Amino acid sequence: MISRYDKHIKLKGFGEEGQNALSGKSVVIIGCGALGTNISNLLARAGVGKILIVDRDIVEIGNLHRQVLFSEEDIGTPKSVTAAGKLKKTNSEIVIEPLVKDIKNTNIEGIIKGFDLILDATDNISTRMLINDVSLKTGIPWIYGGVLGTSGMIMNIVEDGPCLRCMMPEIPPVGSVPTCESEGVLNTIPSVVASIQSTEALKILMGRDHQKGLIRYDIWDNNFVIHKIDRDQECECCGKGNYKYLNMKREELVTVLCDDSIQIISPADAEIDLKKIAENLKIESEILINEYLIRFKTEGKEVTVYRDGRVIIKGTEDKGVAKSIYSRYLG
Amino acid sequence: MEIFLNGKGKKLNDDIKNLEQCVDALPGNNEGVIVELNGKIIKYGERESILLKDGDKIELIQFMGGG
Repeated sequence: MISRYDKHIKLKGFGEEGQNALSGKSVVIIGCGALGTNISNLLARAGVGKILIVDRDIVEIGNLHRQVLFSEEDIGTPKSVTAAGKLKKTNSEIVIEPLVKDIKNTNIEGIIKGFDLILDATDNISTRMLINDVSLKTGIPWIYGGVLGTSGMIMNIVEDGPCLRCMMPEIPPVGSVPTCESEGVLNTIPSVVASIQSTEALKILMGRDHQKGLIRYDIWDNNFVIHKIDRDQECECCGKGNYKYLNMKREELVTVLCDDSIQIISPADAEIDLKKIAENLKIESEILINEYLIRFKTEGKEVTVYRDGRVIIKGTEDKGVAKSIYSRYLG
Repeated sequence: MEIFLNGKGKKLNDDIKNLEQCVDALPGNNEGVIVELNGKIIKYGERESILLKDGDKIELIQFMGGG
């Protein structure tokens, strides 16, 4: 009888030993968009023993052109729950868990604890800085992946290697880095970046040699480059152990996201009463409320309040405007 | 002095001596770029101490944040 992993087992350098090693390993995938759906799909099919998919968002029509696990019928459902549900049907021999949560400095250590590897599939630099900090602090390696336009980048961040802050010491000022909103994304690039991340994940999980340096690929020009980068002994994070993003005060966590929107984290840690908030809203627009969120429109912006207290204000990249709407309607 | 910027030849003004000055003088907002010199990514803090010479190859690498 041909086993589920027959083609992997036949593969030179992989074998039964490699396949068995994967079944005892665990990964946490942070973000379940274009990269996250592709990575979780590949690693679940590859037989990684335990996969946790973390995402804060729900599926929208604009996601479908590149986020491979979602269909039109999934619109309005939480991404991590929907992705995990589909992958459980693909591979029932492994553990796949969803987590509808925003990653923040107060919860990231608890979420990644005990996992062997962190896969980055987020859409913003702030969360990546947080992953970088927690990875260096706990010793759990992570794999950076990012896309923009027709290009993508990947870097393994492992013990003794350079970290994200060796090449980018601080979060660049708002507006200085192009976003998917300004540049767009070709729907073929995320699957390539996710495939490279997933392959590097398999190597790391099996204890094999993995790629060093920053991988950059442009799928339109077919230009593939690996940039050399050394660890910076003076790096605030991996050199000096200063985990500034992990230790940042919560009220500073206002983030410009990739899709012309701003996220504001509530200063309170407890989950909120969505029904009560909806009752107190004094607005004329229609209010959408379900188990996971409230959504309403005001001043040409779309405001979504999640159960964990997170608020996303879509239609602006101005933190001041977003904070103003936040404080006006949500205290 | 003439260098190669992203594969294309570029003449630099005489007052530009180091990598930091070179990046600052380039058009556009380069605060978020990663800088590679002759095949190696240069640590942010070292840009000022690296003196440029004729024929240096500089690549400006845009950080990619989409996912």
